[in-house]
Amino acid sequence: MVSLDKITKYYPTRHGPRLILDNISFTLSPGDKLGILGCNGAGKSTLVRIIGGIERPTSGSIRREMSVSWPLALQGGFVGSLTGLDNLRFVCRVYNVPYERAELRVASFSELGEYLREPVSTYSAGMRARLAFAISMAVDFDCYLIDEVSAVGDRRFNEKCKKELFDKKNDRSLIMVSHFYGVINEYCNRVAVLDQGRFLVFDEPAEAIKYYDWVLAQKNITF
Amino acid sequence: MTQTTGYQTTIAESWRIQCRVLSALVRREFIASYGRRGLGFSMVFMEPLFIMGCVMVIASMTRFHMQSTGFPVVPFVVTGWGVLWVCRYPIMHMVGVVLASASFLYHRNITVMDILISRAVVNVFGCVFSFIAIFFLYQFCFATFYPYDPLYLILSVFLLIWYTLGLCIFSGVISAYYAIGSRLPILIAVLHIGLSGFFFMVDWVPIQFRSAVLMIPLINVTEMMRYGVFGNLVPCYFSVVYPFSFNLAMTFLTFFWCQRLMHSRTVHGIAG
Repeated sequence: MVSLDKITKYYPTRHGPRLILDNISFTLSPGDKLGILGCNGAGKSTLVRIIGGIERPTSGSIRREMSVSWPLALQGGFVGSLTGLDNLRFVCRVYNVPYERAELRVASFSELGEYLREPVSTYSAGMRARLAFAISMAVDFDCYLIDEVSAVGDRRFNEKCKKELFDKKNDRSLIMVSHFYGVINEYCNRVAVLDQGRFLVFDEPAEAIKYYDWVLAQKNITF
Repeated sequence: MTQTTGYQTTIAESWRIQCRVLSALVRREFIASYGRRGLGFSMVFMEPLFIMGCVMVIASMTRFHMQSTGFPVVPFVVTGWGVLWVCRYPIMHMVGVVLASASFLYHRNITVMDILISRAVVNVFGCVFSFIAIFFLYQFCFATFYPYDPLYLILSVFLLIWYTLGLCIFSGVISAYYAIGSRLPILIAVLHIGLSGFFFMVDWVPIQFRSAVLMIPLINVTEMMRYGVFGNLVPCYFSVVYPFSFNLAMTFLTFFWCQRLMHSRTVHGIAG
């Protein structure tokens, strides 16, 4: 279980503190798959970083009673000057995972082949996403945090991720953020909308999408 | 299920995670700094070894001109340059360390402090090993006497390592969180050419300035090392307690400062 209690986050700006997250509370049970929708700058990534424990909220508390992955994002988690396998080795050491088995799993899941021996800085965005996904799947977490990574994978890879997350790891939790509901609609059983710091959880994804459409319409954003 | 992700851990478990993180980062430092073609460790070791070797050869050549004065030129240079190199080289290499590894901060158990510690440890111990190698080379090839008091020699090396690690982490913290940090560590490193006592013995300083000179912690360490090597050939002035307490204070303040910055700021140069 992961529970957030009255999380508030301000970022300092030159015009004074800016409220990013306003008094957010929710509980994620094991097996829950929560999608978070929000426009650019709504605070989605901030929220995920706070859940992942790499950033601190200004106030409020968070309890993690299961293991939570690092936020899988395009930029974070890997050093570009190291090869894919070096990054994997690093993650294995940090999370105490046997390397040999992890290497096999990453090689087959990411399908990067010889590129695993090249520096990550030479990867395309899609390859990076595949590596990020594969490495995090090689470490067994109870809850995965995914920050828009799946958006860059091609259809085949998305199918693969879906299979991995739903067939093999269906008992695991998932928190996924996106600005678009395509993937979220596919993956999640609960959907929340983050808008102007406020966080609304809907048990029915269709309602969340309706509400999000309304939020977008207010801002004249269309897809 | 793995017990690895640091939720509600006991102190023993936290300690194990801490050790794993540091060992992983130290390996990463080797690979990142020097490539993975097998030269990793040897480069951190060969570079200072080469320069200190050159200095020693030059010093041993000039010795012939100064022999009549009875002043131990070679050990004077070896100790002085050794101290200077051990503290200067690692400090210079603390610039931009955190930024290069900033992506690792996405892992909850890895902090800025871990990155700084691992880089400082890799470079400081590389330099110390090369200093020890040079010292043995000197002892077996050039020396005309054994170290006068090995205990003081060892104590001074210990204090030097501690001092440098502390200052490296201090420089790394500045470099991680402030714009000025890309310049200031270089300045600190260059200042040590004077602050290390490489050029002079405290005995050469006029009496009224001696206590002022001995306010510089590293000069105490250099004098202590020189006393350990050539004893009373030249009178040495130093305190053991002063550099020790200075190191202790510096370590605590730097850790405390870094802890505060880690919770209140983001690393300079990365977004978010």
